[in-house]
Amino acid sequence: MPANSFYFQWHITDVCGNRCKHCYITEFNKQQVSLATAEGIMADMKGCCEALDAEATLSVTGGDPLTHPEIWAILKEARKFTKKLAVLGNPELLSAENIGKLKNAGVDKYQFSLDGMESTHDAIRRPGSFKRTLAGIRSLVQAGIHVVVNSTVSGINYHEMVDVMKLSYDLGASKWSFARWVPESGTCGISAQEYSKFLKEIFELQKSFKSDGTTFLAGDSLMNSVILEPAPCDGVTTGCALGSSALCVLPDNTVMACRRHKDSMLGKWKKSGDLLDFFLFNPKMEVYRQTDKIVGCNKCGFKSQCRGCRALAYVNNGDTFGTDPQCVLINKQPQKE
Amino acid sequence: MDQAEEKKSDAQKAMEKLLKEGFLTRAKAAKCGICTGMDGD
Repeated sequence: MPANSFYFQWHITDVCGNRCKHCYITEFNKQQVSLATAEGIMADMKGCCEALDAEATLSVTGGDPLTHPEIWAILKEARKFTKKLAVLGNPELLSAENIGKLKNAGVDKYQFSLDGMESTHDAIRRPGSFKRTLAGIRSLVQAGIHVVVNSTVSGINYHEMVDVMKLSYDLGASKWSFARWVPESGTCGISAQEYSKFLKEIFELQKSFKSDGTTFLAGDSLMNSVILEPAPCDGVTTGCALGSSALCVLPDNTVMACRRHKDSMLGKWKKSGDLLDFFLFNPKMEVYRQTDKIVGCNKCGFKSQCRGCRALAYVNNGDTFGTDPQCVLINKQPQKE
Repeated sequence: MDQAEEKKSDAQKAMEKLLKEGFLTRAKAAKCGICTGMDGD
């Protein structure tokens, strides 16, 4: 059993039927990784994890990953090197046939997005998306595939998240989680004080849904200051993954430290060994690991477990090491959004 | 030491440094449910 763990988020295509308002794909170039390149990347993911003595967790996503003409071949190959195989996708192409193929491919979980209740969700995504998503969740639960529901939280929808969480668990989701919207610049539209209150409310309410079948959520590094005790120490134990134990690969083979951090492009994957090189030796990764540069975190007892969201810090401050705009421990004064 | 061995040795040293600082073990610790910092978990 490998001693460590490593996470890959792989966007195999940017083809998508949705045009979600918060999507970080700004140019839908209809790019998709070829099967030959995909096989090379997967062999490199496997090699990278072997070198790091790490178990791989792989999320295959897009765009809508089910639009990729070689999706089944890719998933079949991926399953050979990881049991922790997830698809982060849309509901539109979840026909009975495709659900059967997902199950046969050994997909461990399928993640849907719900960004609010019906009118809010459909306004962010497209009309009818909410009903299609609910139908998709029901179908996959019935088929025995673990369903994760993820919500992108911002000032326009965070008030609805309690209802979204309840709905997700009522539908049979194994997990509901959330992440803050990372805009092009500025903040996600929630003050630090409001967000702190939101995290506490979610934490308390989620307890009532916790059972053997559900996974405890966190969804955000800042949640750690709500659910954990301060643990001052050097280094990191959990929290923001930037520079830590994850890489993201785009359809054009661009490798990023974090998909949400728009300045975290490390280079293009070209050959075997590149992923390990990017992770261990890329100058940006070395910079990201200098966590003592993070403004406001050094004296915080939660630093090793949190460090806020560096992607949000970057778009808000123009500096990866700037303050997280929703951290109530740093931003003690009420903010005007 | 040939080039391949040198590269392997450099990788081992870099990995040991990361392990010492906790970076590489972070995702394992995240099994409690803390977000990986990305979509998907």
